[in-house]
Order: sequence, then structure tokens, then C-alpha cells
Amino acid sequence: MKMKFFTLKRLKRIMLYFFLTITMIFFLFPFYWIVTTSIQPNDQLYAPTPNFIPRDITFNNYVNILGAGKVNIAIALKNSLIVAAAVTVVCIVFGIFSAYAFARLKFRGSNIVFMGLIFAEMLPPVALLIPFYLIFKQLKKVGALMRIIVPVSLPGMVSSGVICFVFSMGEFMGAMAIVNVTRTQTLPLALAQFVTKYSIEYGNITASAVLAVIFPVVFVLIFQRYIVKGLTAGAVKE
Amino acid sequence: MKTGIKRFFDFEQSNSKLVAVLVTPTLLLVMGVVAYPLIYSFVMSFGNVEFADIKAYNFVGFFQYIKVFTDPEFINSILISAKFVFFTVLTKLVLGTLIALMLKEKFIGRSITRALIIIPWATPSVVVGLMWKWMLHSKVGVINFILERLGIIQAYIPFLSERKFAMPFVILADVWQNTPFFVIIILAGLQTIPDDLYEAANMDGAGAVRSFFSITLPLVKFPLFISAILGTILSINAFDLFFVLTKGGPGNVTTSATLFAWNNAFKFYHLSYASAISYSILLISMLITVVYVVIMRRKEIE
Repeated sequence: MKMKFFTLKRLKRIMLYFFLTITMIFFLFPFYWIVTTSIQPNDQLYAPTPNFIPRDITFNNYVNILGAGKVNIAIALKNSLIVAAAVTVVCIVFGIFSAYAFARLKFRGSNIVFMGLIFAEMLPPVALLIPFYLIFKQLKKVGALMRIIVPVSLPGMVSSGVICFVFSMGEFMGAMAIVNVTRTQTLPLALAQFVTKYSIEYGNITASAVLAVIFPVVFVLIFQRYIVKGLTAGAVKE
Repeated sequence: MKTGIKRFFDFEQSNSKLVAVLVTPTLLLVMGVVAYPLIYSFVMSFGNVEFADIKAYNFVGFFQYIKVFTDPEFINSILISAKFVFFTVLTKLVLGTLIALMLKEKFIGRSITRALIIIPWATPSVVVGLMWKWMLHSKVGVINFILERLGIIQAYIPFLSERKFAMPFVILADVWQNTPFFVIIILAGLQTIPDDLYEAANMDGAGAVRSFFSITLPLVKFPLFISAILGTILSINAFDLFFVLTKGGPGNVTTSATLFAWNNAFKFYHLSYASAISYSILLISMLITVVYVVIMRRKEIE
């Protein structure tokens, strides 16, 4: 009875681990790739065959983007974090009060307002950017960061705080429409600059990508249980 | 228990005035911040504003909207968005379910795996775009390298500059980023199904596939629908990936509806036209949502 080793159960287990491995490779490989790309010297990056394991390691790219080179990411990173933190606070505070109001108080027109919020979320963000762009063009006194915080909070006001943070770190379109001064750039904007201005220096690009990813990723890993609960609270019927 | 609940409600009533005072101003503020741009842009769409010249606003009724729906470029962008939405949502639903099924099983490192799978979703879209742009690089991209080594392609292909490949790869990048979203929701739904149902079915002789279609699928209908609706709306409004990866693609092969709106707003500064485009997209989104809800209601009645 040598066949006992390959029971159906065993086979299913092997298949499970196999597909799980493929899945995890698919989802995690790009991260590995940008990390290894960011720590290789530029000449090795453009060699005919890519190195899956870096031959030489250098942190030049990080030095470049954090002050030495043409584009300074440090400011953008700081701005992104400030905006994200501010937006999160705003979202949580407003979210709690608004949610409470909708849940407990029955006031006239609460349904309409609720529908309005849903529309605001469904509406392509471009529509809301146009008024913000025009308004803030006139309000030159308002601090540049404030100009980002308010519109970025907008879609987030209906969501929960943690998701807010993730989304606001990713917020790109709004920031791009409103801010075109390098001094007050947020990270996604700075990254996009790499795309247009520096088409070749992928060492720098991937280094800034790594920096841009670290914060939301760490944040998500710490709070993932709450994220899952938040996302699924409405989705799963008890 | 009843006395406990009653106490809770008494607490509610006696403090309701205080609560109202606290909540109302905040709510008004929220409504103001949200409502003002909404109304502003809505009014914009009935005007003829070009550039930042708001003073030149004239009310033109439905002029912009008629222009929108008779604009072949708009129709084209809607079709492109439709293609994008259809394929991404479908793929994410199927892949999401398969992965959720796998993650439901008990195995070593399951908690870590469940935590790690969320990471692509947490990545800023711009970064996702850059990641894939780099991997798809026409000269030194790792994907080209692997495909050539495997013999699938003969020479390196500049994927994002090729009409045939641009869209599929934007779809791939979106699937990579957003499948975890579906996985989380569907997995939560799967976990509400009690194991004894499967055991009972097993005893009656039902195989794995049969159990899936008869037990699993009906019971996760709601999470599937929710993730489908949310995923659809997110896909319709997807912008960052298109902007970073292709800026509209070779020609306008990947000019999605939102990218089209963006171009009109901040490239050509047809602000009123762009507003009308956005609200037209909203209209279409609403129609699609209604369709979804109708289908969902009907399936529940069955």
C-alpha cells in the first residue's frame, strides 16, 4: 500500500501550498523588486540582464533623493505625512459626529444629506477639484498645506480613520491640481515628477517609491485587524 | 437584559439636547464643506467657463451636457472605462474568491499571509504605477526578461506603448492593487458559514465543487455584491494608474472617462465642460448602481 503517501488530503494540501506560494509571489514580488532596484548602482540597473539578487549594494539613490540630488523627497515626504495625519484627525472627528448624527438623530432631510454624501463619494474627483482649484486660487492667504488638507478630507469624511490615512497618503489627483510649488509638494506629486522629468533614473525613482510605501504599509500591518473589521462591518450580514 | 436596554435609552433621551448641541455644528460644518464644492461644480456644469475666468460665467442650460453626449471622444472614453471596469471587476471577483477560499483554510503562517495580502491595496496608486512601469520597461524590465527567457516572446515589447498591450497591463496593475480589497470582504463572508454545513453535505456525498456551488456561493452573495458594487465605482473613478502608466496610452487607447475629464479640466481648462463630463460619469455610475441593486434584490427574493 505504498500509495498511502499520496492521499487525496495530502494532494489537496500540496496544491493549497503551491497556489498560496504563487499568489504571495505575485503580490509581493514588486516590492522586492523596487527595494533591490533602489539599492543597486545605476550602471548595474541598465545591464542587459536584470539581477534578481543585487551584486553590489549602494545607498546612493537614497542619498540623492534626500538632499544631494536634483529632486528632494524629504520635504515631500514630510508634507505627505503632515497632510495624512491632519486628514485622518479631521476624518475621525467629523466622521464620529456625522455618523452619530445619522444613526441617532432623525432630523428633516437627513436622508437627502446622506444620499448627498454617497454621491460625493461616487462622483469622479475631478468634479470637486475644479471648485477647489478656483477657490484656492483666490485664497492666497490660506497656507498651502491647508489647501491640500481640506479637499483631501472630502472623500475621506465618509470613511473611517485608518482607511483615511491609507487613502490620503495615496491622494494624488487633488494635490496635483492644487499644488504646483515644489516646496509644498506631497509625496505622490514628487514621484510623478520623476515620471515626467527624469525618465531614466529608475534607481532614484524606486528609492522614493520605497520611501513612499513604507509608511502606509507599516501603518496597515499594525492596524490590519481594524481595517478588516471596518471594511467588512457593512458587508457581512450577521 | 431588558432593564439594561431601557437604561440605555433613558440615558439617550435625557442627554439628547446636549448631544444635539454638540453634534449639530459639526454636522453643519461637514455638510458645508462637502456641499459647497458639490453645488459649485454642479452649477459650473451649466455654464461656459474656460480657464480660471469665473466672472465670465454664463448660464447655458444643458449645452455642455449635450456636448458631452455627442462628443465621440467622450463616448470612446466611456467605452474604454467600461472595458476596464468589466475586466477588472470580473477578475477581482474570481481571483478574490479563489484567494479567499485558500485563506479560509488552516495552514502554517495563515495570519501573516492574511496580513501581507493587504499590502498591495495599501500602496499609493502612484507607487503602484511606478512599480509596474519599471517592471514593464521596454529595455530592462524584469517582465520582458522573464517572458523572453520562458520563450513566450521573441523580443522585448514596449508594453505600455503598444496598442494591444497597454490596456491589459493597466488592468493587471489594477487587479494587483485591488484584489486584496475583494479578498478581505469575501473572506469575512466565507467565515460566517458554519463548518457543519460542509460536514453534513460531505456525509450526503457532495464533493468539493458541489459544496462550493450549493453551499458557499449562495451564502456569500451579499459580500460578493458589495465588493462588486464598490469595486465598480472605484474602477469607474480610477485615475492615478492611468495617469502614471500611460497618460491615456498610445493615442487615446487608454483614455478612461476620468482621465478624459481631467484632460479637459487641467490640460485644456474647459472647466465647465469638464464638470459636465464628471456629472455625466456620475449619472452613469448611478445607473449602474441601480442595476446592481435591482439584481441583488431579485436574487434575494428567489
